[in-house]
Amino acid sequence: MATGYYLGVDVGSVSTNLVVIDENGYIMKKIYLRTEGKPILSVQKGLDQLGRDFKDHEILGAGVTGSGRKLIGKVIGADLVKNEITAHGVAALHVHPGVKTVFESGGQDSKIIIIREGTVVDFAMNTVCAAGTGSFLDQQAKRLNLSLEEFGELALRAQVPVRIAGRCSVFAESDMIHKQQMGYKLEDIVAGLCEALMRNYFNNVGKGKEILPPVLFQGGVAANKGIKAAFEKELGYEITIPEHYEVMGAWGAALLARKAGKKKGFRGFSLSDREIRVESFECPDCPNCCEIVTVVIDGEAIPGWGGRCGKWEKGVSRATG
Amino acid sequence: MKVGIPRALLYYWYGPAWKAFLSAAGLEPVVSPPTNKAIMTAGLKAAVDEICLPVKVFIGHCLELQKNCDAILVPRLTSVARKEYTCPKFMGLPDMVRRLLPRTPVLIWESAGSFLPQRLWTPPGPGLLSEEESPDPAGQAGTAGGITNGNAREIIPGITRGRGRMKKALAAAGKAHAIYTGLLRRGYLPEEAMAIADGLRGRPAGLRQKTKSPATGQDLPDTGARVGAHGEAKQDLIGLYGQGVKPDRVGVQRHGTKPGRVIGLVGHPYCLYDSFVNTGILRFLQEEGCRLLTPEMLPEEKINAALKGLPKAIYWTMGRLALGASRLFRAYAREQAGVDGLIHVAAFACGPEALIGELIKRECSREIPYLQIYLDEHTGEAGLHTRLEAFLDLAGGKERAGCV
Repeated sequence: MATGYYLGVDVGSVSTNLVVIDENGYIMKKIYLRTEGKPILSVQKGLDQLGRDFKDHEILGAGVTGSGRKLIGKVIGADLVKNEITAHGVAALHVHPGVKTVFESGGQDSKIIIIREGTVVDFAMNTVCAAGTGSFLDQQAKRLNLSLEEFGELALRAQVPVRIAGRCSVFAESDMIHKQQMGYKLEDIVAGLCEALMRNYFNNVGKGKEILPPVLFQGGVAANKGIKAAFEKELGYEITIPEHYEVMGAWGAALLARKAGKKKGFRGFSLSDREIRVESFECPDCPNCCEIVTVVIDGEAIPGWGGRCGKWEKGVSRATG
Repeated sequence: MKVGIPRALLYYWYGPAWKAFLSAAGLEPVVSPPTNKAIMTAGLKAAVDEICLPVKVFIGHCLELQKNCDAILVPRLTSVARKEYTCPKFMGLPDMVRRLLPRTPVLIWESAGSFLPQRLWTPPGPGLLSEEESPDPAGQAGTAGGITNGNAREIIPGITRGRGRMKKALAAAGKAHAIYTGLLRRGYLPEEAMAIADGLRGRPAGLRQKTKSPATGQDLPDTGARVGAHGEAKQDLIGLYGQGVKPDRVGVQRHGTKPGRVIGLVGHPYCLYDSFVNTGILRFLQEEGCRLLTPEMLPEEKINAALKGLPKAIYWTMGRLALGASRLFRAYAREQAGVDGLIHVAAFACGPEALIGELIKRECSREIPYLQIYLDEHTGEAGLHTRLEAFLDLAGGKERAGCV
């Protein structure tokens, strides 16, 4: 029997996640892909995989979040484009209605979301520095030739974590190499790295925030057991990693699309077979030289964006009717 | 003779006064265009590396103006209020400009304790180079525009000699300033206020449309009393604040389909009002249906009253206004009427803002949805829009940010 579902897409810097939920909000299927710098291609890949299971079902609404939300929202015809902070907050509240604090750590961004009585009341995001985020861990794990799982397991075995400067990822790396050459054990260094990342998170993102339990820890970095342990050591109580920690943003977007009601702007799973081309150019009409982006799906252009004056948003849509 | 006015830094406070002054002195004021990528890039390239972005942008505007101006007015506004200061970088501004533009005479508007000039002069010698080192022989400059690098007397013929003319020009500046600040108090943003003050001439197209009467479609007289949803609500709000009456939520009730929130913005004027530097924060908020309040729209007595109880007076004028306005916005939010959120826009690497920002954050962030934005050279809007969107969800209260 064909029933209605909602689609949620989170297009992050490192990973692209898609979920399909039913009308009760349960996740029917989730997909976690590496973005690898090609957001459209990874979304197409994800839609292709989802299409195998859901092409006979009706998608009642689609929500998009993540740093690539604007682009992907246009491409897939999303009914709702939402910032990742709200999306993560919504998903956290869905799985744990009593949650008071959400730690979210992804590829390039880390966030803290403060929730009181079921409402997001405050948030913070890392500023220009990515030292406390997944990309940094990724890079260091690669350097040590460890998978992220091994990295976390190793950190848990540490006896005396080494102090590593976590202020800046470049300095952290040189500090780490130095400690390696001094002969410290690998597990102690790895654990020290986790603690450095945790310290950076509290000093940068969590500074001045009232962190109260229950705490949910979500985003790709939550897969790292060493980081969870470091957070718990600092806070003095357990933190929860939700079952679907890696796709919480996409889930939130799907839940928000469900809340927004049936819109059906979604272009369908068949998008994966279509040719999608992104064209960008520098608008020559004024000294601002805005970088304009337009998307062409099978030769049909959809309104562009990127301009400061707004004429491309209107202009192209007028031209295509 | 054309005298350039850079559309940067305290232009957003004193631009109209400078323009009026130069006109009354018999000169032709030329304001640089709104900041664009070319201006910013030129400024970034020319200015010293360590300085804040707004000063770099100012330099960019000067470079733009030198192309078609005979001289550039550069303020040295060390202090614009008694026992208060602006910023040390403002003090060195004319020197920075002279170093970078050795061929363009600089008219220095120098003041202390008030924005009106105590001294108006052009330093001798082209830039910091001595006469002999100058790449531009004095004689050439003399033939070009009748300017030698003497003092203001040469730039403004007769102005320092004829006291009457100077007096007249200063009076014109004072009057223009009063009209302009009056419009800001009524809730107009600087560009709007300047356009109104200039008369309908040169008014942006968007504004002209808004002044048409919704009933008859005819242009309304330019009294500043704009009818129509936007202007009316704005004026109600300002009127109420101005009279110290508790703002009535009904007065700012929602027009159109979007839930209109009232957002208080604080920050130095050149961070708030230069829409290129702040990547269009104000425009973004307006498009989301927000009404905006800034320190310039609040009566200064109320700002000062709100600052009572500080252990030490804040002696940075812009910092004082920012903290005082934040406290006022917090008070309005406390009364559950009037203001839904507070945004502090600051330039990265600004010393005073680092301190004032922290004060505002500590005092206000627990009582009113609060967001702090630091501006630097980035033009990518994604991160900024993420924060603003999430912030608006916060400021929208339970019905918007709550769970599904």
